[in-house]
Amino acid sequence: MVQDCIAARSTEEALSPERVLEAAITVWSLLEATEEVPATPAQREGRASARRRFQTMIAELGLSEQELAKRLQGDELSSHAGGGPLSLLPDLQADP
Amino acid sequence: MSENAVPATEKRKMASTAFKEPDWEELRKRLLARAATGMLRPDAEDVTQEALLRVLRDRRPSPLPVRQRAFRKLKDVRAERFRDPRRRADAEVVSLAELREARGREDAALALVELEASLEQAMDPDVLAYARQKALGHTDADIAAALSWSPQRVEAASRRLRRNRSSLDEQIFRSGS
Repeated sequence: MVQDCIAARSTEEALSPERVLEAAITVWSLLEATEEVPATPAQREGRASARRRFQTMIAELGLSEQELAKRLQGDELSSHAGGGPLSLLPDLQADP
Repeated sequence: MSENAVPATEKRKMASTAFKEPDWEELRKRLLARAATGMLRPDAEDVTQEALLRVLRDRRPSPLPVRQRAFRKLKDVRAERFRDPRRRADAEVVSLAELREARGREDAALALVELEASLEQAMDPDVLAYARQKALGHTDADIAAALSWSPQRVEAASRRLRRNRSSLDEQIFRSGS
């Protein structure tokens, strides 16, 4: 089992561009969907910090919130039309 | 008692630490992160793999925890690799800035994937599906129609999502740290 775990190199699998993009969209949609939820000043501050942290993470990947929105919109359209996924994310497996 | 004999208390300590099963995947990630600071990613993976295999093969009792032994093996393997003249001749030069950039990208990707996994554990699938629709600007009536949900189901998902906002912020803020 341990050998399997090592051989699987699951970090690489977890970091496939599609997987990472999907994670970014999930987090972004949760943030966006709750943007209008009333908040106390302290909660608003917490929200701003969380948003900045999220923006920093996606910026490291060369993404923006607009691109995530486009991708989510594209997924929505392709799920109705039966089309394939778009590809916005650079290949994370590429050598530095 | 001979000079080389191990006292009983030390033996117990060695047994308790030597056979404690570590989180191998977590250990692999940490070793890889350490290895990747000084070499290209494919080399870092080879070195990490070799270090872990050596830990697994090494059946000698040791008072050191597996994690500590693994980092020592990693150091040994890296040193052997750098001493190998064939590899030294083939070594490519990569700028520190490039390494940092690649590292930052990978850290961010891992943090996002881990964050999503923890959010998926904390929130039920209805909440996540509702959030995707809501993020697209759909109204609750649109969502009910799009997902074929009853208005009550939409309302329940909306309520649970709103209730989770603070914990969402906290999880995002702590992610990757």
